[in-house]
Amino acid sequence: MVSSAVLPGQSALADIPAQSHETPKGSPGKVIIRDAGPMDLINLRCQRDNRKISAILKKLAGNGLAAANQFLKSGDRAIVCLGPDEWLIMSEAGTSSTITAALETANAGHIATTEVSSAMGVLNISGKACRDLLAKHCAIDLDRSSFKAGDAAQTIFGHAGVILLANADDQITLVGRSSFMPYLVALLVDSGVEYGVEYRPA
Amino acid sequence: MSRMSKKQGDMRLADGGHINRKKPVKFTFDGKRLMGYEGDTLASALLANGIHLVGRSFKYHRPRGILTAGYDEPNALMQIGHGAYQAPNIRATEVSLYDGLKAVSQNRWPSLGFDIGAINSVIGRLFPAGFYYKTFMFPAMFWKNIYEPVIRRAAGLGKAASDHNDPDRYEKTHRHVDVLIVGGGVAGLSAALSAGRSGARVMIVDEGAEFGGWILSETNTKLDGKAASKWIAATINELASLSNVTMLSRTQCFGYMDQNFLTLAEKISDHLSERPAHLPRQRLWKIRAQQVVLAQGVHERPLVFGGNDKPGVMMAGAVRSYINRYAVIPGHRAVIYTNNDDAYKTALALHHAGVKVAAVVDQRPAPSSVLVSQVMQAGITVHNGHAVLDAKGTRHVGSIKIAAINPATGQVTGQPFYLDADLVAMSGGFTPVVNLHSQARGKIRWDEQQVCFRPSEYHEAAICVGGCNGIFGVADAMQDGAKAGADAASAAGHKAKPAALPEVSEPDSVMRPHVLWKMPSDAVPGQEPKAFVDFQNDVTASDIKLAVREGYHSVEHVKRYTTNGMATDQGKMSNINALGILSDQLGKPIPDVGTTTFRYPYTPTTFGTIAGREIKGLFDTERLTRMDGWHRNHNAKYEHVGQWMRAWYYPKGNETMDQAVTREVKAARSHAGILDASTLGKIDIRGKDAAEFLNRIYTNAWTSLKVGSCRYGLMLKDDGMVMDDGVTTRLGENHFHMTTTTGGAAGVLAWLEEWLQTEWPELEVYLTSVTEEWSVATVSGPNARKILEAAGCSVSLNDADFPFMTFQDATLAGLPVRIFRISFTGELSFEINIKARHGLALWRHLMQSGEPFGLTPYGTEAMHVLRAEKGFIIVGQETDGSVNPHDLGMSWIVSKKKSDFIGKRALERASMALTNRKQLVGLKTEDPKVVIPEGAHAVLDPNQPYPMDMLGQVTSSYFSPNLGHSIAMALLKGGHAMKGQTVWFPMIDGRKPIKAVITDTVFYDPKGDRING
Repeated sequence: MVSSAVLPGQSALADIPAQSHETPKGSPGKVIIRDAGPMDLINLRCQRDNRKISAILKKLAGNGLAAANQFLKSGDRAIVCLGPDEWLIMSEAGTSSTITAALETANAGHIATTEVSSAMGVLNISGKACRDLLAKHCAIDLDRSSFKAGDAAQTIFGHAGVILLANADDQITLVGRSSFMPYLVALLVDSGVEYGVEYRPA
Repeated sequence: MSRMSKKQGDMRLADGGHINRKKPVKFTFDGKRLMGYEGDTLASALLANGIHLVGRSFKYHRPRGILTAGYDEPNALMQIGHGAYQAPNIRATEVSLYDGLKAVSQNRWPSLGFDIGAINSVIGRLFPAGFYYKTFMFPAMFWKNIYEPVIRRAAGLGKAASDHNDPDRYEKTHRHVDVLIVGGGVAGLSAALSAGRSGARVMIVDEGAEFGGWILSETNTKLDGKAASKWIAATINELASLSNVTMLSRTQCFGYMDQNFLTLAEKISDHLSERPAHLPRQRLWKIRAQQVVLAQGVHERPLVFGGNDKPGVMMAGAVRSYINRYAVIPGHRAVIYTNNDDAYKTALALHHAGVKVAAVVDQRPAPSSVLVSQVMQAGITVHNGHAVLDAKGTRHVGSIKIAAINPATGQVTGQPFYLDADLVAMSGGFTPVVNLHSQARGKIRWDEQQVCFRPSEYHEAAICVGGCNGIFGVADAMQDGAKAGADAASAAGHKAKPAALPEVSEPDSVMRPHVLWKMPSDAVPGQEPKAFVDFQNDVTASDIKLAVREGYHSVEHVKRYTTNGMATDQGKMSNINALGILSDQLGKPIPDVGTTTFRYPYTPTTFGTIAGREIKGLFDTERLTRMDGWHRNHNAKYEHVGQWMRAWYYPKGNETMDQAVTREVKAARSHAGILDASTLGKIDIRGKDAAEFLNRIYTNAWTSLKVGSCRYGLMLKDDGMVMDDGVTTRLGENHFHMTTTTGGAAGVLAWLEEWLQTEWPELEVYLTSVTEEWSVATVSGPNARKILEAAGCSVSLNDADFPFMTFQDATLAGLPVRIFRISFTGELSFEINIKARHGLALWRHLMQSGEPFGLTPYGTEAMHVLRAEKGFIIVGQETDGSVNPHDLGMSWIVSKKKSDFIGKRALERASMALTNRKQLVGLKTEDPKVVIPEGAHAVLDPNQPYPMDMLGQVTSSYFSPNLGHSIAMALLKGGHAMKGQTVWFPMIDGRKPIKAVITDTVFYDPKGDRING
């Protein structure tokens, strides 16, 4: 397995310039969209009851396999449940090969680890209106009483599949596929016009 | 004593109303400068200025006035705004007045007062129901070019802005709620209080500028002994203070779909003279509600009599609304025409406002109630058992003709007499608004007692309350609402109890209308004055009777034949009257006649709101590869492939597309070309059963593939037809890298997952999409090896060390890459995969290293030509879901040994091997320069009579610069046995048929020598 950690390379968001719309009167506050910057992503597939994998993850990322529609975060590392037998492991840039190696050599039965660091872009969206902004192009229930901190969802924003992670009432992380990032940033910024919005590159 | 204000408009009362007299508002109507007040609607401001005549009718161009005070208005449709901002067919009764508002009446020419089309009214007997169907039948060719354009010019409503670039912003959003309450009258507000206090997520919407609904127009209903507006204000305050309650005014619920999915149109800045740039003009809300409470109230029904459409004839409730809510009197001398008690409130309101009420004409033989007594005590004459026969006047009603009738049969029994009046306030009873309930597949039943349809069965988790549930009293409606609100919140999992309600004092009244569907008239049969049922589509009572006489007995047929209820108001005013007349004509009770369907949308909604921001650049996503920046900087022209934007060709200087593609194609064969192939679908396949899985998915054998080797595979659907193709490589014993077509990637992954999850759960295989993880550059051509060497490739690239159809991990200038030696051009070719974050770096590095070797970037068009020269198929171009591997001449890829693969059973059916199936062949045109259009159909004899016997169609066709002649592939019936035969392609544009000879599909390098450089 080759490592992509040799050179930092270019993020999927690299060519997207900073942009903003001012905060109009009466707005609940500007929404800030930030490129989350370089990080490593591993797609993990295994059975939910794989204890060996859970144990390794606990050691490496502070948490085991997250339950359905949840993510578990510890420091800079997070484990996001994507499906009944699929998770996304998020970690600092340059760390995926260590994590992958630990998982692959554990003799943990039927598993698959696939690095997808290049395949995704990650945006942190914050501000009082961030949920209202996302609700413009996302049909799931994003109310803070329903999509609570620690909840994760695979859904659609506009015409693009995305993963949403609720960090807090006013903070949501959006993970999208690289080729959709120019569209996603454009749609997010457009949706923020009524609150005031700013996109900040890494 | 009249309480007139002299300052502004003749018809404004000196005090009262919910208008802000401190804020005068300027507006124009048909160019005339007028004044109103903040809080006015356009309709109330026009009436305050004494303007009733606001439009011409659709068919007869009759003068029409403001009929209602709400969104059920059929007449007062206006062109609002100017320039690109203008919008047609806006109901003046719904438009909040703002400074600078420009309103223009519609459907009149040359002016509102004098309209040439009004001649239609005089000769109206020549335009009965079904007139268009009967008259404009022959000749058929006249319809499109003559009849329809003329009819459309003469009839029709407003015009769209000539500048089609609507400068307004529109947005859409989604919301999940526990309880959605549609309607903000007292019933809806009571429901909101009960539900809101429980903590449930509640949304209450009302189409009006303020909450309160009908009660805002009443003065004689008190809540807790005070004006109703006080309770409403307090309730709104409480609801607004609850963070779990969302209140939307100026918001119309216009659609109710399955599973409590409802659509709302919120007007955000329509009523502002300066629309803020950051706000949408309107917002579409897509609501998913656990429970729905419909509290939409009622529509008042008109009465059907001659001239009932003349300006000055209005709904009685609307007249009360204009007086009490807007302090406007719509006339100086009024007659009330009614069949129920409610209009007596209007008589009193007019009387108190200082308007002379000439008489109340009541169809009922002996009305008696507190209200009736109050009216009589006020000195107003009440004509019991009378009917209005005709309203006279040219542009406004001036007098009415009335007579005593037999209330049961409608027969005129007394001598008709005339009353002067410039205002007729009519009330024909009340229709609960069951439209949304019915849209949601709720059932309704006819209530003989109340003479209306009421909700009976529900299909969704919903409840109708108050007026739209057939409960007309204020106190009962509020209780109905409060209970429903509590029930709905409880059903959604909250602890709720009905809100305590105020003491209601309202005049006792009999709302039940007198039933008389026959129109009283003293005219000679067939000579009755026009009495309108559907004002907007100009359908008269006679039209409905004619339809019945002509044999249209089903309510749906009568609707279509007469167009009753088919206008933009969808029969809000007309349906029940039309049904009544129909039932009377058929001699059948209304429940047996049935109703027409209530359709989406409930009220007209602008296209802008439905489109939202999904326009222009945001219409759809455009997926870009990581090398895209380079393509853009090098003048690439793009083509859409699925959602991807792929470089199509790279013109240099003034090159045409043909010149650029020719250059690119030649370079790839003479030196080397480079293609951005990043968009190909890529799937990482892991697990001990991975090879077995591929064996079942593809038609050929996979278990024998060696680690490090690549193989081409064809995937079939279970019907045996080709679904996708691509090269899959064995990276390790239990690890494969599959590629798919660009457009098919997502579908293939879903297809494979479906088989794994539902059919073969025993297989230990995991799939992960890595399409975006890898950027791919393909270097192809005789110099490909030299270029990779120059680029610093870490592995030996000669044939012995790196044979065709193998793969190696390597580094290129230190960057880790996967190199696949596979070829879609027939040339020596290396497909280099790199982590996408380095994609652009790789491309630049290769371009630099390849420069001395003539490396030329080529786009998808050149790729198509190169592969066609080699006879390689493109799934989706040579195939269309009805093509099997044998048809493609690819029987070699179908394993005969494997016990099974997807599509095997279907493929073994005898019909799949028939020799007259459409089969893939090559074509060479007689004239080497002529390129057959793709899609052209082949025939054996171009001179045969029509319809010609067609053999099949061209799937790919190009000019091959390397061969110097055009090449094509086609699917022809029995094509494999026809090699060497001549076929013809007739041209639709009149050009001479193109002559071609059937050949093999491989045009270039048939032995495949070039694959090794």
